[in-house]
Amino acid sequence: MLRGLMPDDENSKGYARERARPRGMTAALPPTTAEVALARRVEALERDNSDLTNLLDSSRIATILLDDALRIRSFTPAATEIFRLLKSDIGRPLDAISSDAAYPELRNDVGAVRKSRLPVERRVSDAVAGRHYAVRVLPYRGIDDRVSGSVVIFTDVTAIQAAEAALRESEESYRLLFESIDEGFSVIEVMFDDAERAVDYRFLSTNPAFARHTGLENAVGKTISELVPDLDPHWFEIYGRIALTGQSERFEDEARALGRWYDVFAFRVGEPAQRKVAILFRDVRERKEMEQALREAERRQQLLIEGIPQLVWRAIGRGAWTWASPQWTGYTGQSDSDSHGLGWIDMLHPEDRAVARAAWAAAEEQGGFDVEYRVRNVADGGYRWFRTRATPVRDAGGAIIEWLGTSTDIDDLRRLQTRQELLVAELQHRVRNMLSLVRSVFSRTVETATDLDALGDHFRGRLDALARSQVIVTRSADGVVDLEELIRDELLSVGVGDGPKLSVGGPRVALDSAAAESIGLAIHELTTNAIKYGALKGAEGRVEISWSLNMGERGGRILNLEWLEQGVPMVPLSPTRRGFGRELIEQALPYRLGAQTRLEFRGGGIRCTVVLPMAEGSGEQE
Amino acid sequence: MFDAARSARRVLVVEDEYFIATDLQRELQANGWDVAGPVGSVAAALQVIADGPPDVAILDVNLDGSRSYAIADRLLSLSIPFMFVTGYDDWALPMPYRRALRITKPCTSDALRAALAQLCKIEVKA
Repeated sequence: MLRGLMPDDENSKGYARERARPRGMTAALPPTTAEVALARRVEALERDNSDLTNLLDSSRIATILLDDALRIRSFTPAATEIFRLLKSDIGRPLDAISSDAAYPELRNDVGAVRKSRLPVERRVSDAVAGRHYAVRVLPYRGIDDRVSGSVVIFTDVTAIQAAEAALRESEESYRLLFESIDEGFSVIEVMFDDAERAVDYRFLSTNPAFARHTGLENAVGKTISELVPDLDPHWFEIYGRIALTGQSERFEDEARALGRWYDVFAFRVGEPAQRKVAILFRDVRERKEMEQALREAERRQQLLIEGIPQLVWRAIGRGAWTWASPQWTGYTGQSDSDSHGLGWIDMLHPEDRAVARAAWAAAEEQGGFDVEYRVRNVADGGYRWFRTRATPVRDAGGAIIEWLGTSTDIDDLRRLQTRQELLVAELQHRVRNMLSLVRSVFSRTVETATDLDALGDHFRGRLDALARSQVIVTRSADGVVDLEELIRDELLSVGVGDGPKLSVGGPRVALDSAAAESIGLAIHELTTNAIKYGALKGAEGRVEISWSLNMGERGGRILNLEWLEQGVPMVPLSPTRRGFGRELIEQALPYRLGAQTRLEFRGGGIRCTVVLPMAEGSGEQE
Repeated sequence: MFDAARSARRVLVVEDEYFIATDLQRELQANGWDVAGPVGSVAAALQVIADGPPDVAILDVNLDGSRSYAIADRLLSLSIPFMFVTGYDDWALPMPYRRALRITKPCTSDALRAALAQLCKIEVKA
């Protein structure tokens, strides 16, 4: 209910009169047109008054109506919470009513409003209740628009003020945050052309780190085109997209014009129509440069690994390959992916796979391994020996991250080593066998020697003959001896050359070292005998040495060699006894070479025949 | 010293070089051994063993390019003790034959007698 809302002035007098008029009269007398109009108006006014009363009562807005002398005309119930108002206070000046809300400017404000006819606003606080009010003093306008008095409206803004304070506090802490963070921060307004294409942006605010990350000073208020005229246009596009869609984006990109790389998080702020984007960013140029340097280092390492002749690979755990160099694929034909895990083992010789597995089983404990195994070559399907070494790659704590390995082809080296061992063994065998033979020959010579001079002569002669055959054997690469050369050497050693006393002839025949040694020694014995007792002693004698190669009875080739002396006047004595030469021809040659020999002492001289089966691979030379 | 004459032992000599073989033969005979051979090839040696196994054997390793291991294997299978008389050092021999008794050429009479004695003692123990 609105107490005394309707003022007791001229405007309301008619109304009061109409109200006082008994209703019955209107029933008794037909109302005049004016009376009907008045009644309608009164009805409308009553309705308005009732609406207003209800509105003000329910609004909880403290409203006080004052006349020009500050006297209270009426007030709403909410006003009693601020001023200790009673119904009886109507007509008393408001500043006489006690209140906890300090409003010393009340009289001035009302005066100002009456003069200026403009509202006055003010904040008033009730320190006791801890409440805050927004006070609005408005001029009271009558129906004829004449100002008489004022309306004072108190709006409780305690909650709003608290929210405002909290907001300020919050804003302050965010401001502090953005000013102290290492990241650059700015809010921009993206500018579009008529085709809604982002063409530029303006900096609305920046934080202190902004300049450090961009090198741009006093950017606020300026557009990026002003600051960096040749900035890559894709920066506009990105921010334009964010401003239009509201989809925040995180990305890394290069600003070539600034010579920097940025790690950016951008998101839309404010109303979509404002097209404002907040940008949180960091200059990552150093990291990018390091990444670039790292990539280059990796590329160099890759080039190196792929350039060396070794097969290189990487593995984890107990030999699970993760990478094989192109050389591996080139050599084995196995693809990089097929080698992964334990796939590489398929390329090893089956006999060597256990060696490789054992090496891996002990690798971690021993901190690596160094083994040799055979790897299959795709080119010829054969296996070659490789020396394989694995080195662990460790992290800072010493734990093994992975293994780096190389396999080096040592097949030629191993072959050479094997050959060398074989050669050394053969050398030992030959030297010691030869010494044994010399020892035996010496014993035999001692047994048959008549005196020391004869012993010396015979032994020297036999030793020289052995030496000559050795020289001829080692002269040829494959250790074969030309028969004619062997015979001529022997004869030349005692000064017998071609002439009427000697004929040597036959096809080219290659003897192996064992045959050369025995035949050489036999020729020596025959020659020595012929010089001493036979065809080479006197002027009449003549020696014919001839040979031929024939097919043997049981297949294979045989050498038929004949030593024929002619013109020896008397029967020689020495060979008839059990001498060295005779034993050599009759016993040693059959025993050593499987030869059939015949030594005949005839009138005219000695005839010696040797039928020698030729070993496979030797025989007539081309 | 081993008394070969009293035991009337038979020794197989395998050596391809005639003069070395006959030297060995003489040496052994002088010590009272009955010599089987000498022979200079694997085939001939196996034939001698087949005809009448010897009590011990002396083998050259390199028989005109062939190796005498087949003979050694036969002797092992018959539990006949043997030794190598060879120019090779032990590293040049395949693994199982490195364990066999071996004397290096040229061998002296004393070395031969001592080796034979060792060979027979081992045989007696076994």
